[in-house]
Amino acid sequence: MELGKLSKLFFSVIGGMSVLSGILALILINIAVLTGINVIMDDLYFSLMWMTFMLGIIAVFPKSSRSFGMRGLLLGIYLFVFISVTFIVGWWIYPFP
Amino acid sequence: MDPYEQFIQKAKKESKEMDEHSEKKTFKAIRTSKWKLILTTVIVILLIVPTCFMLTIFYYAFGTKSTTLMDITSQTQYITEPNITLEELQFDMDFSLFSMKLDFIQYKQIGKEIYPVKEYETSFLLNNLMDKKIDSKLEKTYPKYPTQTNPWLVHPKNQYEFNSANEWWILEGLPDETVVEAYISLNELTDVEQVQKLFENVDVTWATVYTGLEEKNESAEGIVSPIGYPVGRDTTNWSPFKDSVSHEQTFLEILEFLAPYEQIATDVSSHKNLALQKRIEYVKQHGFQTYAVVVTGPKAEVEKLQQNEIVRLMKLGEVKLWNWVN
Repeated sequence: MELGKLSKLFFSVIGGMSVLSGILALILINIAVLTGINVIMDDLYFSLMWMTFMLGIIAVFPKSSRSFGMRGLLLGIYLFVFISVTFIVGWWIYPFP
Repeated sequence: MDPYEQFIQKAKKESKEMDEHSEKKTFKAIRTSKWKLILTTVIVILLIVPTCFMLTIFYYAFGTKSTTLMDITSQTQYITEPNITLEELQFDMDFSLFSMKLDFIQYKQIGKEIYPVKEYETSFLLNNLMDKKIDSKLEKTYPKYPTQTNPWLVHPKNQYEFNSANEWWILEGLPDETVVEAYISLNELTDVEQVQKLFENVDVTWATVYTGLEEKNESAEGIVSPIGYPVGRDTTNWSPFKDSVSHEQTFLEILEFLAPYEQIATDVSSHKNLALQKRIEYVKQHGFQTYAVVVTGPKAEVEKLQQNEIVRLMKLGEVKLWNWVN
């Protein structure tokens, strides 16, 4: 396989993984909110969030994987905003130690 | 084959190859677009719940605050439920989509000890109370559906539904080694301090406040029930009466705090109407006078109150084994 094609495939896989990990993190949030089971504060959520964000950044530069990369990056930012809001504002509305 | 035919064939071959290549490219593009569309749809669907949850959190932080709802709930309990107290750490708050759950435990002083008596589970949809479940451990339950004449704390001019003589009989039959909670209705309006002086060997835990409506327990809005405030010194961190110099003043402040949220307070309470504005105006104009109190103490000491001229009626509340210490 040509080097160009290989690099294209590599970045496409990175972009795809970014979006996929973002979707998995979103599924975790949905489970937590709808069932009340606290899975958001698990390490898994934070790992998925960082994976979405970092892989999104990597995949956003090459033209071939840019659309996946953008989706991953935006998902990563959303996941970060969600956890920040839940932490900071959540701490504010929950008056107990 | 002449050069012209060769040229034509070459052109045909190239055109066919180009078509095949273009077809492959188009097919690949369609496949990629299809996947992108599926992914985008999945992402949009998965974003609905977290976004709604964030909106809920923002609502309880900047709209009707969760802490305000909690204060309304707890302070309403203090002024509408005779002889109860709440504990901060027994409050539990939980948020889900556009709703908030607030659970807490009510305590009662019987004798010298505090006992858990009721577990409340309330659910708010934004700021509307949607559900209220009460798990009561009380042996004597206060009338669930208030009428003009069924409260246990009775104004001197109002009628009542219980048999006070029977209650005194029941009290007499209890062993001396018990402590009791009793709802004492008075013959006249008086100051709480005066009542405390008259009832010196028992604890006066809660006193009603006459607000101009209790003669018939009726207001323009409908049936009202007695309201009042805890009398004794309250040291629990949670209580609005903690370190309060004047419990009457704190009571009035609670009424004024609850007035803008009267509907929520009414829903949270066991009363049909609170008529807060009228009551605030009356108390501000006429001051604080009580017509009935809740007392707790040794059975024998409560029994002695029958001889007191100011006592009109007695309804026996909870009874516990001796825990009295002076």
